[in-house]
Amino acid sequence: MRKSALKIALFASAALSFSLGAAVAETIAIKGGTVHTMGQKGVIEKGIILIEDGKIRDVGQDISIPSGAQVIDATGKVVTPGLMHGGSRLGLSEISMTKDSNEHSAQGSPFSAAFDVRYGLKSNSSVMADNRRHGLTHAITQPSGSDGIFAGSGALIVLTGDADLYVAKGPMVAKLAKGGNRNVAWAKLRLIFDQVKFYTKNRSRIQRGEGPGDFLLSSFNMDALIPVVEGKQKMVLSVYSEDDLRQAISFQKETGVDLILSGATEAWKVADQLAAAKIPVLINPQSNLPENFGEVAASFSNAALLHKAGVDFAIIAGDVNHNAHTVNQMAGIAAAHGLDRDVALAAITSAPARIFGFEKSLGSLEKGKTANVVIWDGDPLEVTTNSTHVLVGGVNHPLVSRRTLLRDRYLGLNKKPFAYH
Amino acid sequence: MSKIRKMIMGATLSGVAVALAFSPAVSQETQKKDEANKDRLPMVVYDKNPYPSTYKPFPSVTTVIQNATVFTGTGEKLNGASVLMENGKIVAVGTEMDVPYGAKVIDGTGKWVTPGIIDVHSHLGVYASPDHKSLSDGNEATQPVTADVWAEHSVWPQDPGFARAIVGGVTSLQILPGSANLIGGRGVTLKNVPSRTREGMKFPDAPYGMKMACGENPKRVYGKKGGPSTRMANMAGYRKAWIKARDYKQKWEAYYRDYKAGKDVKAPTQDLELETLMGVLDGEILIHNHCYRADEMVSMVNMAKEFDYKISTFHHAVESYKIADILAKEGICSAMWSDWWGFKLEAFDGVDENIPMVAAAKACAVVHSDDANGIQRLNQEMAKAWADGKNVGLDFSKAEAIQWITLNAAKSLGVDDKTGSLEKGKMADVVLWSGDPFSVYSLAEKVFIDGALMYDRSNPDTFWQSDFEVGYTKKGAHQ
Repeated sequence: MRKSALKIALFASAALSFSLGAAVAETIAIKGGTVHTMGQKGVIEKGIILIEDGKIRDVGQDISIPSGAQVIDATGKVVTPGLMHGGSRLGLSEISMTKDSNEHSAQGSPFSAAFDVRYGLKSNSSVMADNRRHGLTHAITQPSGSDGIFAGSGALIVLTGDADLYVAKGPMVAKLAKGGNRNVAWAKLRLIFDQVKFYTKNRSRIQRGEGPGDFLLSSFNMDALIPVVEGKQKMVLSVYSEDDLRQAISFQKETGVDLILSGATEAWKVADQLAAAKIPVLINPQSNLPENFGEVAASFSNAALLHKAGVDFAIIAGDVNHNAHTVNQMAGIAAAHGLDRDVALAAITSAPARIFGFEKSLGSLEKGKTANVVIWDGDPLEVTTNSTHVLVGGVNHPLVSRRTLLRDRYLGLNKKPFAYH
Repeated sequence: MSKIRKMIMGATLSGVAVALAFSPAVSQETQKKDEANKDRLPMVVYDKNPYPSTYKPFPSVTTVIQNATVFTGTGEKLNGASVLMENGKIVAVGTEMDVPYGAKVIDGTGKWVTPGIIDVHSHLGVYASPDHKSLSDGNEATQPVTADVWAEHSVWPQDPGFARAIVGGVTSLQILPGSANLIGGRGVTLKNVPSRTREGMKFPDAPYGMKMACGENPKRVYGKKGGPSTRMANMAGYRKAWIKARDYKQKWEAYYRDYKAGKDVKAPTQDLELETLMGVLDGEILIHNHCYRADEMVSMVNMAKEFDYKISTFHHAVESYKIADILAKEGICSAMWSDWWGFKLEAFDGVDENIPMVAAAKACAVVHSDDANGIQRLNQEMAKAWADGKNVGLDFSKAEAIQWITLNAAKSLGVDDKTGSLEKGKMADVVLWSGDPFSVYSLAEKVFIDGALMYDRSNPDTFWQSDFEVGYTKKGAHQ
């Protein structure tokens, strides 16, 4: 009896959260599953996760469940932290080819570094709801580009479906390929860093019109770069070829910038240098085609070789929006090509949280962390596995999206007269 | 004139015999008749296959894979079974089999065997890697109807993408021209083998396909170039083309009828565009129709009825689940992605269960890639769709689901009498997987095409490296 009442209660809260886009966090216990904490406690068989007020209160085997707590039975299932995409476009684009639903680019505006995605975030996006039901609970969402090297600042978002999705400012995003040919781009990047340093020291004089007027960027774009140049805001730089990766390592040494390299198709060729420089990278493990002359050494083995060399890396999916959740398939592909499975799972949970500096609240199932939890009906890296429960900030979200509702209209089409039910 | 074959045919000539005109036997016979009818102008018959396949299977040895889990592609799963390949053909599949003396024996214990994977929608070779303007040859976006162009003339056999696809178990694939146009031109079906020439890859005797595109793409491309700029103008554009094609076909039929009646008639001028369209009306060229929305697909079905042709397959077909019953009734395949959706408005209603929902309605479901990455793991794309179906109670067996990338794909291309399943007499296009092909961890270990071992993960000598990559990377470095 209690079980069925619980089901009804769950369903009611689910329906409410879908229709109103809001749900109340409560005390929830997930019990019986194989828990991959991705933290100190490793893997716990028949584990219990106790969640209160959106946070994880405790994880372990011998944990007493308070009376009145919602209990989710995860027996025979796998429990992991929510998945993270470290370079998404979520909340910034509903459909990439419709102009009016895209807020991710500064192109055609005077903004470059000063572009900041937080103003254009869309909380009730059907894209986010659909990614959430597939197990993606949070992401770095970032600008796609501008008319220059700097695309602007990304954000850490949590896929709550509510207006509170913005959590924190993310990294500055820079794309070398937008800087002109490689000679020009590297020269520009170095020059801009020098100019921003100079600008920072002489800001008031320059703004009074007493300084040089030949900066590559306008003052408001340089303002946005001050924390980057000072090493206080991370910078994600998209580079692909072995040569550019080497340049990036030198650039990091010269400037002290807190660098994350993205793309990094040929990173395996400079894995030792990346490890020595402690520069983390974001890679898409399915990149194995010579897309251009800078990626001729693209290889399925990238992830495995980076791990072997001790490089800190996270796995991202080539799809940055509608199917951003396929990071788990990408991790599976890396595992199929030599990467340890636990490392592959870490590369889409704890590693991105750490690389972007949010490991205190995200990326593992540990006491005090945000309760972003997914229950799976099998190995989370397998393509045949589905999520059965997705909790974001302690809220058990129904596995419903615009797409599942559409599907349900047409399931059993031939068994009943057609109607928009 | 060199590409035109002219000959005199006897009075008993039928329309069907015209298709046989390039067979040497027929030529000799007609030459005799030529002598007898010296005073008549020769009857004009254009070669329907001026660039024939020169594909020859690679050398093979009699091979048996033993004690494997076999998905036959006919809906069956056999445990502990063997597959025997001899002279490029499947000779036997089953649990009890005599191994011919001297046959190469491969232990398949703990491994899986499937038919070779077939991708019905690829742009390898026409949108090659590296992604460079110079190699971007897939879309003749200069006018809305370019039925005269043939994708095979753009195919670059050195595209490294072919070599990647074979590692994913792909043994045959259809290369289509792009989707800017209402009617984009002819596609070509290839065997996925290294070759210096495109003719050397052409799947012998595969029917030609013709690409059509619905919806947003033609609107977007031609909206500012004189139209079509609307779906109604798309429709008008196709219909105008079919009206011309019908007229052309009637002219040729009248010409042959009159010629056979002994009249002194002049043949119509060869028109490459209308020749392709006429091939569709004659049932010799298969329609591969890029179409996302259910309502548009039904309009296309109605148009096919208006002009009396058949649609082989709707491609992309993200809304097939809405009209799966209609597609089943009409006998039209749907080639679909497992999970792509929302990248444009006409893809916004895509659902993860599209493929199993189509299959559940007993319509022909096919998983396609349209992508140089996706083609490398069509088994995973199939597996995702299978699992999504299961999740909503559409419980297909894996043996049934494997058909979405094998036999159903072969049906879509009109080559299911030759490949797509492990049946006696079919081409020995076979993949040996390290594990269950529904698992992300399973990799193709060996790939046979016409019985020849074309890829062996354990033998770098078999790794296919395109000319483009020579000097840049070691063979197999991309693995």
